[in-house]
Amino acid sequence: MLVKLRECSPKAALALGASLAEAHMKYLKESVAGGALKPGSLVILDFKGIKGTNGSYIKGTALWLWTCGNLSTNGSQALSPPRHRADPRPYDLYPCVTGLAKELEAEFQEFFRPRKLPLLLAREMGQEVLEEAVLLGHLDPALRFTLNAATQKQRVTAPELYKANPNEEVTVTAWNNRLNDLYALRLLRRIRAGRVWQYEPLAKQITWE
Amino acid sequence: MVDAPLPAGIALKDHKKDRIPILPLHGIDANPQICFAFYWNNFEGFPILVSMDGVRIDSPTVADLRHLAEAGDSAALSRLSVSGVSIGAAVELACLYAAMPLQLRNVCDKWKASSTLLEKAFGAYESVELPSKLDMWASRALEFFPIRGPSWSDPIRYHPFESRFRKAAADAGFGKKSVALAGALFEMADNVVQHGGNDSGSPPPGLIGYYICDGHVSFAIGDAGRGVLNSLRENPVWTGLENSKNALIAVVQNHASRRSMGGEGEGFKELFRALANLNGLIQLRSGDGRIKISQIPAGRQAESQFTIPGPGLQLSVNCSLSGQPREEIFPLDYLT
Repeated sequence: MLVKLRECSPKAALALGASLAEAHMKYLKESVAGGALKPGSLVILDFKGIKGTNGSYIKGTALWLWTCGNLSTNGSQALSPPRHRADPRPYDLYPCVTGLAKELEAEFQEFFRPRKLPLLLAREMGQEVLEEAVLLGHLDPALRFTLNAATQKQRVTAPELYKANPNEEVTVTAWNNRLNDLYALRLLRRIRAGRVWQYEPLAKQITWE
Repeated sequence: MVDAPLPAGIALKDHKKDRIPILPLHGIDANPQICFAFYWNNFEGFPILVSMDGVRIDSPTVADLRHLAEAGDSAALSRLSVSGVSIGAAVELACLYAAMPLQLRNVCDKWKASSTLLEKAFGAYESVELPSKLDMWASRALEFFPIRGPSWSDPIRYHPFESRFRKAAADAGFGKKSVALAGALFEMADNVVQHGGNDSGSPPPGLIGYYICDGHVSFAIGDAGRGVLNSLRENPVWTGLENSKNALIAVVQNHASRRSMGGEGEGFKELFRALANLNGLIQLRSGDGRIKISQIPAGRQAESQFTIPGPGLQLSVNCSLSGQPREEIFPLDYLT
């Protein structure tokens, strides 16, 4: 699903503040709550035409989406029940942004890096898998290595990574934990294949900034 | 505490001396233009107005006036002659008007009748009409804007106001910093809608005001909503907050937010970032708490205290290209 923020009502070239973020996410929230958006969907927030943004807007849009996805992976361990209409809820969604001007990209980095969270910036889009993306924010070196390995294979399991990296001294369980962390961070999709989980990257090619 | 002579025309019952102890009541800074005295009688004090002429009303003084009104000294209030007011005080008086004691409301009515500035401030708070540009020329500007409901910032209404603010600030010497200041103003105003009311009800009305002159920008935002303490207590992390003073400290220093998910609040981060390398003075009043933050390039200093309780949250921001952080006062007859 592509959300063109510049077209959302009320139309604004400057995407500022929590109230505007709430208004811009209204349709998406209704789609998710009404079941119109299937679980596992990729939601791309398109900032093309947006000249400026700030922390509150990013929090109400990209971080809201990211947190919804993350909560869906925690099952019953979700922090506390949502109280406010703007509070995130567990929805199995994968967030991504696109169309960021240079200043906006810097704003996103400044927002996500201190929170130690990653977010994909789509450079070239496909339908449910991105052709090319840049990783914004923060990702631990071990997880970066794992994401890199998963992206090269396009679909991996923990035992496969264990076999492919004999010199890494990482157990199958540790690979599995890493893949699961990337799933919770909304960078890999997960599909049950018999007794194991198969993991797929959201983008065919991921570069680092 | 210092002694001061009793002003002419004031006689204290059962008081033989011609000098009385002076103690500023609520202002963190003693306002040299206005002093209140405690006249101790059987260890119970009450405030009296000592200086009556040419009083300049800044944000701390509004609390003093409210205290004086609640102490019932309407005679002293009616003698008060005001020469100037800050944008923070004008916004606070407009927002708190309905909740004021009758004596102070009567005095405000008198000031309003003689001051276009205060009339516009009160009018903007009460009105639902489109705001109009009040006054702007060269590098000077002064304007008010009402905050009404979640769509308060819709582009047709808010963007022209914001453009005028940015242009005036840029012309006053702030250059590209004007964009960051406009962003901070917006963010703080949006907090009225986001946090000023209960989720079930509609947000309280609020008011923005700004005053810009060469090398100086001041803006203020006020509302008469539930205040910072009640808002923060919605978040399980902050239910233990004991009073409004601590709630203000939590908001300013720990970026506390009532939302339990999504991490810290963004508003004050953005404000402090906008004021970096400027001589900033930020004053907040909510409930019975007040906090004053001075931000100079060398660092940031905060002082907090208790004050007379009042509804909502009042924020006043002043910044200058040079000199010490200060709250700019302009004449009450500025527009008349």
